[in-house]
Amino acid sequence: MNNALKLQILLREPIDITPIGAKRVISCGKKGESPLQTPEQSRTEFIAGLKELIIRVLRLEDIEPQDIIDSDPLFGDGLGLDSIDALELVVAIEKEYAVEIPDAEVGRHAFASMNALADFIVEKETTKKTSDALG
Amino acid sequence: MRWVETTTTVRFNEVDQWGIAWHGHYFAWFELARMKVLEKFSLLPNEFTALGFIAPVVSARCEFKKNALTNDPITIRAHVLKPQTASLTFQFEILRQTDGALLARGETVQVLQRLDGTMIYKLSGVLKTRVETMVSYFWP
Repeated sequence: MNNALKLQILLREPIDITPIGAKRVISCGKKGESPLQTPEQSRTEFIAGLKELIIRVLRLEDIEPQDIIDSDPLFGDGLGLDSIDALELVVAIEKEYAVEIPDAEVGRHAFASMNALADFIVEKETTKKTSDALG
Repeated sequence: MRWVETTTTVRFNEVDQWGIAWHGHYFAWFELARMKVLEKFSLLPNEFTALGFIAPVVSARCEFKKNALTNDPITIRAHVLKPQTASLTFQFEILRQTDGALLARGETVQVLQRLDGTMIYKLSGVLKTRVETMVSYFWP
């Protein structure tokens, strides 16, 4: 499932702005899984994808996705990322989700934790889709 | 890929008691070349500040290949890598003029901050234009 579709799942009211084809695909989950996926499952999957992205982009070889705690900060005490990591992560997130994080002020909220980052991306995507839909 | 070069001579006060240039001075020599680059593209520290930014170094390294000795004439050359993120990576080489021997090779990474200390994750405006001009000089 691509990330645009994963995001669709997380949108609360996508009826008017979601392409019809996409809606059908997104409710299917992975092949062989139940087609009915709860929002909690979707979110868990989305966060898991984000963790994999972070590990890949920042080459965190000793860290497994399950080692990253959803509520821990990404910088400093938690995952211990630094300013150069932030720059790389920002580029990757923009590439993958088309969501911009222009500076550390915005980054402070977005990188507060995995939960915060997921919320941030979903919120930005929702805003963008809504404004696109409104034209 | 191009370099910007400058020259200097190893001074007596720059060598240690073994007669070899003290390792920390190589970073000061790198700085000579960096300033030469920044001057060329209107990105000197005061010009950075005028645009509302500073560019602190967050990483610096140097590999020492051969000893520099008192009175050695040296060439320091620098270029800037094509940035993948909102940062500036300078690479340096120091060569002995008499035989062209490579004495040291180094690199610094600078991030960009607004004057209030907020780090920026994306370049924009005049700063972006000047940085792009500088990069395209080295990678025509």
